[in-house]
Amino acid sequence: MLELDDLRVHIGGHEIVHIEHLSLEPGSRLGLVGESGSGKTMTAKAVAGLLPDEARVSGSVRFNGRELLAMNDRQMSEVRGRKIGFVFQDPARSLNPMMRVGRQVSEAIRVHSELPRAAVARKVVALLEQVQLPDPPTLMRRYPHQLSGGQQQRVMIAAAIAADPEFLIADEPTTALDVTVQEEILRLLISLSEQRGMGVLFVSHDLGVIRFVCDRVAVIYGGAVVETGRTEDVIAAPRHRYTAALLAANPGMPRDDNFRAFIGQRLHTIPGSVPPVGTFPSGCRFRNRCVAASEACTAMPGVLDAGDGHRYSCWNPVEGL
Amino acid sequence: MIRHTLRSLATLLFAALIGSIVVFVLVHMLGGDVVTVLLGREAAPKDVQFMRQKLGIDRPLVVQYLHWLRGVATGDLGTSYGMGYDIFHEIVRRMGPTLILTLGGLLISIPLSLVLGTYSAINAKKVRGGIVDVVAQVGISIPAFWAGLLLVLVFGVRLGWLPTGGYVPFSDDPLGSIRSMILPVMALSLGVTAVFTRYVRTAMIDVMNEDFIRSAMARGRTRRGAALVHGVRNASIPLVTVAALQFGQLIAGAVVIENVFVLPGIGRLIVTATLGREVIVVQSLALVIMLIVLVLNFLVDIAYGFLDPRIRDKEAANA
Repeated sequence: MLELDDLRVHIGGHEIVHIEHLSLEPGSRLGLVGESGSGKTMTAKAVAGLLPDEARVSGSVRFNGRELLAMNDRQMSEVRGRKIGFVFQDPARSLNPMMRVGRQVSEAIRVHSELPRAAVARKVVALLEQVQLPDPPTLMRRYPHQLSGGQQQRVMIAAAIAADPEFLIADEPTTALDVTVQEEILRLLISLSEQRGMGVLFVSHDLGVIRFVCDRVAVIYGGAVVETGRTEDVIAAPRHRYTAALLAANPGMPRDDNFRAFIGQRLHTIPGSVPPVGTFPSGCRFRNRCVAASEACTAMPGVLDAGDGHRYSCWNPVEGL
Repeated sequence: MIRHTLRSLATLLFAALIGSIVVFVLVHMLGGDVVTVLLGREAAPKDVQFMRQKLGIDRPLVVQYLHWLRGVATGDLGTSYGMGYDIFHEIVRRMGPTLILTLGGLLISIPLSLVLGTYSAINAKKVRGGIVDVVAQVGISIPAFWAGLLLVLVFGVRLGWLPTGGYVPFSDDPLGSIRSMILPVMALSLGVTAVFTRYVRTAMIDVMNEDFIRSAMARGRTRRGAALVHGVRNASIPLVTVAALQFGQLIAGAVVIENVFVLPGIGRLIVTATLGREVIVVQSLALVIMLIVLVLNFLVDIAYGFLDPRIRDKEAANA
C-alpha cells in the first residue's frame, strides 16, 4: 500500500506539487495524467526519492506504513528496486551504454541479495523471457545500443522487476516508442502486474494510454489532483472542466476499445498552455484556461464526491454527458 | 577493427614522415654552428672548411636530411661531434630513465586522479569535494622543477629517506633503483595528476546527471554506488584522451626533472646536445619524442574500441 498525504515539492521557491491525498492499493493500477509541466513526473520522482538536489519535499509518502520521506539515501536504496521498481521514459538514455544488458537486468538482484552467480544468471534468463525478449542467453551479452527501442524498454522493465518489487512506478514508459511498440509494452506491463499482483503507478500525458492500463486515474493540473476515481467513471462522466478538456482533445476515446483508435488523433486542443511555475492563478489553477470559469473560481474549490470514490475539485463541474 | 587499425597505422607513418621534415627544418633554422663550438671563434677559415667537410655539413640540406633518415632507419646515426659517443646507442640507453619516469608518472596519476576526481565529483556540493578541487588547481599551477626541489628538500635533505638525485640501473640494485625514482616520479606526476583530477571531476559530474545513473539508483544503488559502478567507466573515456595529449607535456616535464635529479635520460641529453650544437642528436631526439607521442595516440585510438562498445561496433560496421 502506497499512500501520499499533503505531499509538497518546492523548487526555487515555487511549489510545483501539492498532492492532498493519493493512495495505491496492492495489485491495482493507478494512472497519473496531465499535460507537460503539470507536476506528474515530479510526483513520481518524489515517491522514488529521485528528485533533483535543489528540490525540497514535505508531507508524507508511506509505503506499507513506513515513511519514505524520512529516509536517507542508504535507507531509501533498500526500498528502491527491492520494494518499488521504476521504468522511465527514454530507455536509450536510461540504460548504461557501456554495460552489458544482462548486468543491468541483474543489478537489482545483486544489490539486494547474495545469490550465487549461476542463480543470478538463471534468473536473468527467466526475466528476459518474462518480458518476451527472444533468445535471452545471447541477448544478455549484448550492449543497449544493439537493441531496438522496444527491446530496450523491455530490458528496463525486466531490470525494474528483477528483485520482485511490490510496486512499479512507470513514468511515460511508452512515450519515446512508436505506436505499435507502445501497445506491446503496455500489454506487457498489464500482464506482469496481473501475474505478480504488482501495483503500478502509471504516469502519462495520454488519457487513452491510461484508460488502456489503469483501474483508477488521478488527473493532475498545476501540481494538484483535480479529479480522481475509477478510470471508467472519470472517462464516462468527467466532472472537472480540465478532465473534460483533456477528453475532448482525445476524440476516439470514450467508447472505442481499440487501442490504436485512442492515439494520434488530436482534434480539439485546450486553449493556452500550462503556465510557467509560480504563475498559476489563485483559486482554481485552471481558471485562466477554462471555458466555464466564473467569479466563484477565484476561491479554491473544495473536494466534492460523485460516488464510488469519484472525487473532483471544481466550482462549475460538467453535469452529466 | 583490423582495417581501422591499419588505417590508423598508415596515418601514424605519414605523420611521422611529415614530422621528421618539420623537425629537420626547425633544427637547422635554430642556427649556431657546431664548428664554432668545436674550434672556437678564432679558428682559421681553412680549418673551419676542413671540419665542415669532415662532419658532412657542407652538403645540401636535402642530402643531409636523407642521410639522417637512412641513419634513423638503420640505427646508424654516427658519432657525437664533441663527445664521441655512438648517437643511436646513446639515445637507446638514455630512453630507460625517461620512460620509467614518464610511464611511471602516468601509472600513478591515472588511478590517483580517478579516485580523487570521482571523490570530488560525488561530494561536489560539499566542502570536502571542493577542497580536492582547490588542491588540484593549486597542483596544476606548481611548476614541476619547484615541486622537485621541494621534494628533495623534505624527503632527501631533511628526512634523508630517499636519495636526492642520481640514477641506479635496475639490474645493478633493484631496490636502490626504485628508491632513486620515487621522488622524480612524484615530482613529475604531481601536476599531471592535478590536471587529470579536474578532467575526471568534470566528466564525472556530467555522467552523474545521466539518466542511467538515476536508473541504477532506482534499482537500489546508492548515489555513491551508482557513481562507482556506472560512472567511473563512462568518465574514463575523456581521461584516456587527455592522458595521451598530456604525454607530450609529460616528456617536457621530464626534461626539467631529469636535470633537477641528475638522471641520465633523454631530457638531459637534449640539453647538453643543444648547448653543444649537436644537430643530429637534437633532431633525432625530437623525432624520438614525436614518435613516442604518435604511437601513444595510435594506441589510444585502439583503446577507445575496447572501452566503448559503441565505438567498437561502429568500427566493425565501417570495416
